[in-house]
Amino acid sequence: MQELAVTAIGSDRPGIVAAVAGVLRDRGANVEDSAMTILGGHFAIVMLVESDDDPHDLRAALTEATAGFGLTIHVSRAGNEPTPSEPTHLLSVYGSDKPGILAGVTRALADAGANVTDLETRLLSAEDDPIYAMVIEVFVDDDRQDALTAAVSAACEDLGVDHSMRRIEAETY
Amino acid sequence: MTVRSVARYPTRVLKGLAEAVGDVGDHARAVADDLVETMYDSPGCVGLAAPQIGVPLRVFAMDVSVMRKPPPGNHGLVVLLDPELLFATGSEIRREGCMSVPDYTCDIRRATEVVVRGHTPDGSLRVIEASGFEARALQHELDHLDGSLILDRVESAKTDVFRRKRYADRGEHLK
Repeated sequence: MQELAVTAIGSDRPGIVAAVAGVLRDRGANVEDSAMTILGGHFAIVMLVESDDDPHDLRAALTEATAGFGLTIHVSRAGNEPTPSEPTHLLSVYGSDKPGILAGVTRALADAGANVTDLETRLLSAEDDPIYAMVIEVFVDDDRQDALTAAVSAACEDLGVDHSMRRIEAETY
Repeated sequence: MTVRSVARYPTRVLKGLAEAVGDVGDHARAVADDLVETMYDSPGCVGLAAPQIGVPLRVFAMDVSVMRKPPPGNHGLVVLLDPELLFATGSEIRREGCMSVPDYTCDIRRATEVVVRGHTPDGSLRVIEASGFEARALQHELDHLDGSLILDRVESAKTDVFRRKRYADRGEHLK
């Protein structure tokens, strides 16, 4: 068995996940992990599946079975990739919306050697002064924490946005 | 007493450190009166801090007894000037919203029991021992006095940020 990464994107409609998952089941694949979202009517799903299929064959089967949905489907081998690290920091950034906030902040993260493990952005209150808010989870090595803090502060100051960053403390109950 | 408009982020007063009141005078009392008036005028609102009406002073009003299911043993109307958190214990994650960050709620971890001390508008000392929702409301108002918003308290990217479905759904989460 190998791990395959399956992605499907398209316009959202009821039944897409059922159609994709049905093909995977019928071909003996097992879904190990998945994440789906809808943004403004656009559907996107990423799945990690255990399967004996050839990626090309699986993609063809999925495309055929979901033809009515008009999805763009991609299947690739997922093996040999490093296990994602648990995030070490949570960063909230928010301010009046303008182009470049995401680019500026994530450039600072990349330059500090931090890896984004999760990212959510939202536009709040779409009145005349909409607020852009994002919450980012990042992993960074212990010896780069100070560099991360400095880089994020500088970037947010340049962009004129507010931010707060804190260490994610794992608690066990 | 005047109903004031509630400031929304990115109004800068919401991000600043509010100033101590010190000796309670007419100005601070007027701010306290306006906070109470504005809080009661805002549907579902159970607390309001002075920066939210544009005043950078350490004053807040809170009344969780107006909730649909008032928490048992609550203190009713509480107005505190220069409040200090003396004690906090316990930990619980619950959803919060804020009048100054509309269209948004998120899950926030707060202490479940707190002791807060401050001055009343007539200048006497008042100590509040609160638990549960009332303790949460107190911590939310104290945050406002330090320029901290719910977006600064979010606990994870994936599950903690929720967009409100409708403005009318604000319910009792507003502070």
